[in-house]
Amino acid sequence: MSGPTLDESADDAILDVDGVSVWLSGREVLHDVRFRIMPGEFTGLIGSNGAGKTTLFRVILGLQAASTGSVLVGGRPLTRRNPIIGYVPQKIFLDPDMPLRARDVVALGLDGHRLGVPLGWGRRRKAVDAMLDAVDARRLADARVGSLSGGEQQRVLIAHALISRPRLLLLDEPLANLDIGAEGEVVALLARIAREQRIAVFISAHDVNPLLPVMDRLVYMAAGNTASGTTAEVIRPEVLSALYGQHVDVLRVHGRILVVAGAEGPSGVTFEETDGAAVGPDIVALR
Amino acid sequence: MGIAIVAAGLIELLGLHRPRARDVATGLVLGAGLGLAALFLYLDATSSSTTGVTVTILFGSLFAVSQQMLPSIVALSAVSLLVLAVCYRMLLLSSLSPDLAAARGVPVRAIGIAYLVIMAVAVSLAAETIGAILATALVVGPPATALRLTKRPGGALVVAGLIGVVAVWLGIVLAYDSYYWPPAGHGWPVSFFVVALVFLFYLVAGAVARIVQARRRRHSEAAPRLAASGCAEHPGDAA
Ligand SMILES: Nc1ncnc2c1ncn2[C@@H]1O[C@H](COP(=O)(O)OP(=O)(O)OP(=O)(O)O)[C@@H](O)[C@H]1O
Ligand SMILES: [Mg+2]
Repeated sequence: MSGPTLDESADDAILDVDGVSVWLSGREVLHDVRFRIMPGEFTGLIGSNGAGKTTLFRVILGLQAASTGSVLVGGRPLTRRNPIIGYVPQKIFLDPDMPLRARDVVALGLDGHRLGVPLGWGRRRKAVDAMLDAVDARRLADARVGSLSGGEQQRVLIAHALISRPRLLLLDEPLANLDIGAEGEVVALLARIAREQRIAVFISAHDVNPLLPVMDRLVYMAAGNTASGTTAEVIRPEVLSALYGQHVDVLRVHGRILVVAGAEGPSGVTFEETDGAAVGPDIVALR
Repeated sequence: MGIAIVAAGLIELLGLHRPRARDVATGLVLGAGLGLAALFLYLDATSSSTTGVTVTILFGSLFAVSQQMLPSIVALSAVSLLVLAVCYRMLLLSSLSPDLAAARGVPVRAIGIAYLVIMAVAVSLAAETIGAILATALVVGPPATALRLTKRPGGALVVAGLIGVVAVWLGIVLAYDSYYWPPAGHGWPVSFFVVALVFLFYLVAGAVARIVQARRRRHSEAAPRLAASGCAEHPGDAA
């Protein structure tokens, strides 16, 4: 999909991350992250394990303070609660015995932050049913969430995040643990939501490939550094090599992208300098 | 005897929202609640000693709850129920995911503390009535039973409360009746009946759930193909 032509003036940005750095336990997990997301855009946040994707989301949600830099959501500084952001966390442990149906989870998205017991059954029920329809999960409505499959839970959580009508939807690795079929369905669903409801979708993943058909832009994270832009701008050997601090090749095979460590191999680089965890791009995308 | 019901009802209501991560804290609070109850019982029993203090602390006695304690027990129960009702949705959201709740502006810490406090109150009230050893069974049993019978959060609360109330009342009736059981002239302890009933309900609920499930499976076997194809036609249509 070719990126829509969007007016890039800063005032219109739904999310403006400007020079954000985060230090955790004496280590710089995020270094000078800057990018902007426009309304209705589909943006990927690509990075391997430990690259800092979840940390960045937590900063945007106001759950983690940035050491430096600023974040504007809908043109305003962060507050404790940003009703215009919907969030699907990376992993939720759901006990299969938990007495919580899919529809209860979605309803909590509507008013889970309120005091007291819920009232107004009819109206709530209608809104919840409509939302479950929108994510093609109506038939799951009365099942216990804990008993649903990973992909089904993902849909329910997306409905939970969407029912409060956010303008920015953050999804932390929603494709992890999904098979290729379910992966494609969830991506198509999200792309449809972004397009039809003009909700900016910001989705993290460790592999670019599932997102390629729908992504307008991407933010690529490696070794605490980030690069952002369109796929064509970012997924290039020069850009990624600078990011990783090591020679990187980008291979295109059967319409898929493989990011592979260069000919010198890891011996030529000192990894300790950048990150304790191995973030080397041995093979970032291999599936 | 009204206290017992309020106490039991309240106690049951609480066991529900136990996210696993908080199990350690819950254990600590259980212990603290029991400790407090033991202290109160000790103070109470030494001033008007009918049963041995140790026996009362360990096994409690529904019949030994004094007039003076009644108002405070009712008040504590009412306040706890109120706090539970006020925090209801926030508790549910927090137990779904603390991160999610925090992102929605829920004060997760404060909610967690409120929950643990009413839990401690409930446990100590239970210990007053059926004793420290068996209180845990009354706190954990009815919610576990309710989980087998319903999948609605509100429903689970109500069912658990009812089971607790029924178990306590029936326990009292049986204890009275047991006066005529062998060895004649000695009533069996109420606590025994209450816990036995709680356990019995739990087993029966398991059997009921299994039967319902089996019947439902037989029903849905008629059209499994239909359901499967219905979900396969996803992306892009339901617009
Ligand atoms: N509270 C913390 N204290 C110290 N270090 C932390 C903390 N939270 C995260 N980190 C570190 O920050 C780095 C980035 O973590 P983060 O969870 O953001 O990575 P991620 O990109 O989401 O990884 P994954 O793909 O595995 O989810 C990791 O190396 C992690 O160990
Ligand atoms: Mg993560």
